[in-house]
Amino acid sequence: MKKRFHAFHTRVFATVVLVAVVPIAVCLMLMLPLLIASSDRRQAQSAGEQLEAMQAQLGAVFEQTDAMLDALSRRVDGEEDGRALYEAMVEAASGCTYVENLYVLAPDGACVEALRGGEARMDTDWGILAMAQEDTVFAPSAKADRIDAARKTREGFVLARLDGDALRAMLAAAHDSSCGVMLLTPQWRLILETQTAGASLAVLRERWLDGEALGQGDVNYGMRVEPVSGFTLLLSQPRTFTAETTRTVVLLGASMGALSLVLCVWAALVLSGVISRPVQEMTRAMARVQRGELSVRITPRTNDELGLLAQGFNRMVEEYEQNLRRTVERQKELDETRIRMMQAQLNPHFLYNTLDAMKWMGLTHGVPQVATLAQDLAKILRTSISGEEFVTLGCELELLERYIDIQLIRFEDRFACEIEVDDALMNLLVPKMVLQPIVENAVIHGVRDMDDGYIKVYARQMDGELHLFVQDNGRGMETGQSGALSFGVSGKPGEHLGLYNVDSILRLHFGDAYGLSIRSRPGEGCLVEVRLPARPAGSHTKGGKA
Amino acid sequence: MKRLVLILVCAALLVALPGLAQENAPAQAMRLTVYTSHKEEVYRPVIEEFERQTGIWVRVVEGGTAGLLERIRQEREEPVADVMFGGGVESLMAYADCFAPCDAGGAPLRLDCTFEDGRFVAFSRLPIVIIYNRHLVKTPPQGFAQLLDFPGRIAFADPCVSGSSFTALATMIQALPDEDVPARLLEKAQVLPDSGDVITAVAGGICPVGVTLEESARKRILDGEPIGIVWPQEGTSAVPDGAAIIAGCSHPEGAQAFLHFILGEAVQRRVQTAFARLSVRSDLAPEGEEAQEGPLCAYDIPWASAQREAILARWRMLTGEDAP
Repeated sequence: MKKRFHAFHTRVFATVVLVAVVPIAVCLMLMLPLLIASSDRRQAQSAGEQLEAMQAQLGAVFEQTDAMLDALSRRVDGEEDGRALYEAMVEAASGCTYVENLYVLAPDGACVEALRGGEARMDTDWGILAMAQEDTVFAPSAKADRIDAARKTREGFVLARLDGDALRAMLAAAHDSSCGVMLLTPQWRLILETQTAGASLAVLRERWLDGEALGQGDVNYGMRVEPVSGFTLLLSQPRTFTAETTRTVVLLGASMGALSLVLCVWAALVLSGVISRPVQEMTRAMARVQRGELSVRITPRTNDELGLLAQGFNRMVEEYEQNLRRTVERQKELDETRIRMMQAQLNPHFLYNTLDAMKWMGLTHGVPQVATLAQDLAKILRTSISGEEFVTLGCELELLERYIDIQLIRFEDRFACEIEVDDALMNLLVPKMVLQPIVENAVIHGVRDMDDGYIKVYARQMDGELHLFVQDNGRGMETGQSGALSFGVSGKPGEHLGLYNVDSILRLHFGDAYGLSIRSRPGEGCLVEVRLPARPAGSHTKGGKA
Repeated sequence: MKRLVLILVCAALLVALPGLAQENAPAQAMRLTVYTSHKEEVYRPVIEEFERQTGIWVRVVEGGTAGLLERIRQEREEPVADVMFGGGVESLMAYADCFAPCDAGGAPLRLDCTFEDGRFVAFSRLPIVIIYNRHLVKTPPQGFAQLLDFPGRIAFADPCVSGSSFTALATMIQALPDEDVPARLLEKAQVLPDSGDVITAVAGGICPVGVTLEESARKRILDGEPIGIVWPQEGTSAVPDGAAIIAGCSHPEGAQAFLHFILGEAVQRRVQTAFARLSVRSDLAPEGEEAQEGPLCAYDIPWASAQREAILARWRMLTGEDAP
């Protein structure tokens, strides 16, 4: 399955949105309901307190009225004297500020005495008198905006008419100005109301009968039944969090969210630009490097991690370029060496046949030295033209002996050569013809003009390395060639072409850690050391080179 | 320990919750739904007094007679209403299958207000009377025959539109069997679009006399309009309106209690006084100065219902509307 590509700016945008917009949304979705619930709870509590206060005040009025009617009913029973009756009524009504009028009625509803004049007769089969019992009952008066309280006596009724305006004022003072209260009969018919707020009573009554919540929308309702009269107090309280307020808050939150979303888009673009532009530049530069344009460099724009990255990239490309150049140069040198070696080769078969002919002529003509020379040379030649690059140390030493035999004949035994190598090392691999050029150098530049020249070849194995030494007691190297004479990569072949070639071959095979080193002082001989990894035959792997 | 705390919290909640909860809505037994075609000034005091005396919560649905009765028929499977309050008995008769049997609770009812069927009761009677302008007319017509001979226009509502006007027309036809009432009436009538316009026309002097319901006339007299009422000497009709219990209703006991209540003396007395109608009780004499009940003719309600279309068709033909 293909892995989906997520553009960097998309991820930056998502992150920024997560950080900026989500808290606002969470705040709005979580805090707003909490806030509304808390406000509603507080309001409900306040409504409860207001209702409590109104119920208490109303109850006090009704209880006072009840007590007054009770006292009056005792006084009027059996009272014949009109004046005494009136005085009793005046006395009873005194102190009852809400009493507008007071009536003493005959059993048929005819008015016997009224405190402030008024109706001549009341219905006994309708309204309050139809309900009146030994205890005081309360009902809305037939006269609008009044409440009647009546009680049956032995000789008719006593009835107090309470002033609705005064009661309304009392209730209005007991609730918040924003609220309204309705005083209702037990079946929720309106007696009086302080101010209209919210739904009509008809609607509320329907809700109540349907068992629905009274408060729907922007007004809450609280109710309390006043126990003395049985009337219901219904408080309407506008909600603090109306639908409109909530809408406004949500709108505000939403616009804040939208604003931060816009800011997020902007920030995401800027941020991703800051980061992705250098990255894209680097990607392009890398593609060019892959195509081989090593001259590509990035100009660091900023002094931050991205700047460091750009610098690092530049360094990396530089090093890669140098490395490549070095490799190419090395390859070129190797090729040159090979060309030189090939130029040095003659047609080997012709030489070999010639040498064979010379050997037999030497034997036939009784010149054994010629036969020996020809035979040794043929041997050297055969080895040198064989295709193998590595030979065992034993084989190399045998070749060296042949060469020395030739040189001894040539120089009429004016030098001696000694080979001292432990048999254990004979099986180690060395590059072919690695010792011959060194010994040749020792013969030609060291001991050729001496009568008692001495060349010693010996070998040591240390720390996994094989050290071959060629020591002579010849005239040594001239000043400047001695000591740390090195045939490194930058070394010049000069007159010691053989040494240079050996050193080159070693370094190319095994790396710069290996090669030749020469210790010498003019007139005191010379010691050439060959360092190479000790590898026994059979583990024939080509030497590692970086 | 944790369990103990949990139990305590639960107990506290159980104690606190009823305190927090609001008062409960009234019980089903204490409810009643009434469909009424009466005007608010009639039904409101009756229903509020009923609530006061019984403690039952009454729901009122107002509407026209025909609409409410049709609604009752549609709701027959699951009745919403308990009581139909209002509507002429001829209308209720037509929907008798929607009503449950009921009784009058032993109230002494007039013979013309008792029905063999027993599926509804009469509530009040609405007599048709002659009205005249007191200023313009010194000797008013004493009956329908004199009215038709009266010099001057007769205010009469269109019987095709007004139900009470049709009743008036049918009453006159029954009272004067030898006359071609529609033709004679149309010679002199000022036909008005609504029954309310009759009183306005008479009180305003546009017409000196008119025919309308006694109820409306008495109310306007109480308002001080210069109108007089004449109870026709031939006798007149007083078609009662009624009330019925809906068959299969949820609160049959409350409905029956409501019917007993409206036939009770207290309400029936108010029918005569406050509502300016005639009581259906035989033990209540008409009250008030203007409410002198006169002779009644034997108004044949089924005949009027049956002949309705024929009478109206003739009326339309005579007026030139809808001529064939």
